[in-house]
Amino acid sequence: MEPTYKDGGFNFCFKQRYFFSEPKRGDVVTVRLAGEKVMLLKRIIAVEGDTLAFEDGKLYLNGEQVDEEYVKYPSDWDLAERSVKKGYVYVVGDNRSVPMYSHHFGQTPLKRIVGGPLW
Amino acid sequence: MNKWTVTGAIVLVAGLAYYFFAYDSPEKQIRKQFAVLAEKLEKQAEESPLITAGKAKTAADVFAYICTVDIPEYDIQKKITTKEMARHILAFKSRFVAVSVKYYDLSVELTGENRAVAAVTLETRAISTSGETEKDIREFECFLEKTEDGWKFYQINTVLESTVF
Repeated sequence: MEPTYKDGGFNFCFKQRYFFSEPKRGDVVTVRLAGEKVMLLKRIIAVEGDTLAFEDGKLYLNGEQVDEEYVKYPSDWDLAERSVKKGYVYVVGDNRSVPMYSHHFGQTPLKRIVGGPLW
Repeated sequence: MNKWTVTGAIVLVAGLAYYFFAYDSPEKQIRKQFAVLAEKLEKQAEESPLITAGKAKTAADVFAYICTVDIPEYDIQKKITTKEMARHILAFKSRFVAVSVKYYDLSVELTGENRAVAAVTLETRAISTSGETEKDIREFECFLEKTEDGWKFYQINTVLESTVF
């Protein structure tokens, strides 16, 4: 999630963040894995029903290029268009300078979103 | 307090002690298999190739003769025999000078007679021959069956819909 959040940095997960609202595009969220001891910090770039693709590092959402001001490092990602399933969101980290194969991203069920960072 | 009450209390305590310390419940047995797998996947910096090969074979022994492995992010979707598994593990370990494995949030659910499913987050840290540290963290769903030789993994999947995770 660099440069928005420093790799190896410390934060708290605010679990009540989505008590009254649903996660939306642009939110930084904590996504749990098998339990809550390990969580990933990611940004939601698409919600259910959206289509997305990457072309030479640029995000295309529902066919239109999106200006992502939080992405500061150059990226050359290419990803064929795909749709986000019902009850899922699509999450990616902000540091896209790393190769795609070594970056954790993709569709995750809403129920796996535990909350968001406290700051 | 009469002697029957005392005897009953002793029997109860002995039963509880047996359950917690001596009785190997299916869940405990499965957790032990995970521990064996982690131990055999790990590699020490000065481990000899012979030891590495032996540990790869022992690690493969916790898998059923044919295990279905479904890890789409690495284009792995196939059935693997125990021998092939040992080769894959050996090939993986040979790429690194040292490997450490850690589990988080391991949960086991018995799904039927001699069947169980386990969910776990697996963290792997490895030091390549060029000195670089590679870290991977991934969630797996593991299906196990009880055989005459103990619990064996017969299917392993990554869980989250992904391009990578």
